Amino acid sequence: MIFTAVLFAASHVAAQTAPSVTLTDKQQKVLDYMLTDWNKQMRITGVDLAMHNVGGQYSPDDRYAIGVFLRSNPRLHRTLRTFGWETATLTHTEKLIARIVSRAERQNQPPPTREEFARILEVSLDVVSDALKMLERFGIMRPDAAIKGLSYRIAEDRYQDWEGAMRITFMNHRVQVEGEKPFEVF
Amino acid sequence: MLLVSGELTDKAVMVDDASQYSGARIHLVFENSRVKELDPPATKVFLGGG
Repeated sequence: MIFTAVLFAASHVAAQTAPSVTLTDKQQKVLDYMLTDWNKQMRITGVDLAMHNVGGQYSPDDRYAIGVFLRSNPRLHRTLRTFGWETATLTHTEKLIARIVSRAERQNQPPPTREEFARILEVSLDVVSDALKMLERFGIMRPDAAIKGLSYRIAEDRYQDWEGAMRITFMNHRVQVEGEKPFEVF
Repeated sequence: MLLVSGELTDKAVMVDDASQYSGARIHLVFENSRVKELDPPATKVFLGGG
């Protein structure tokens, strides 16, 4: 009887607790930089630029880990709750691809091919492919062989219809003041 | 624009953005709250008002 009660209590706690995500020391350094930045007027500097500004060696896996941490911890900062973890996590290229594909899908038009994206965004094909993979990893896009030339589509309706008041999910505005480190604003 | 005309009014400020529709990159340089450089040149900048 006692054993059953303990089991029930343990499963109840597990159901209430989100999977714990921890950061390494160097990832925490980036998060601390972002939280400090977000306390300044209109700031929403994202993970990619924060990693650059902090300096040192950071990989896409580091950005993924920090992004998952932000997604799991919306209580970290009001900016995060207002604009969402996606705004602070995706790169400029990822946001542009998601923005253009979501618009094409809303308008029932075919999205640009990977080659067209490379030309429009002035990046290499590898950069486009890496961006698609990261969007898939974050659950924002999903593979679909039926989409000619891109093979990806938006994964969820909320990412197709992301625009609206206070919704800047796939927007990015980078600012640099002479002699200072760049930052991003909403 | 709020930053450029307020907190950063006396500084040289570079802004990198993208076209709302095509995704093409846009680069602007402001000095003393005025547009000094615009790339592509056809970019239209809304300076506020109503």
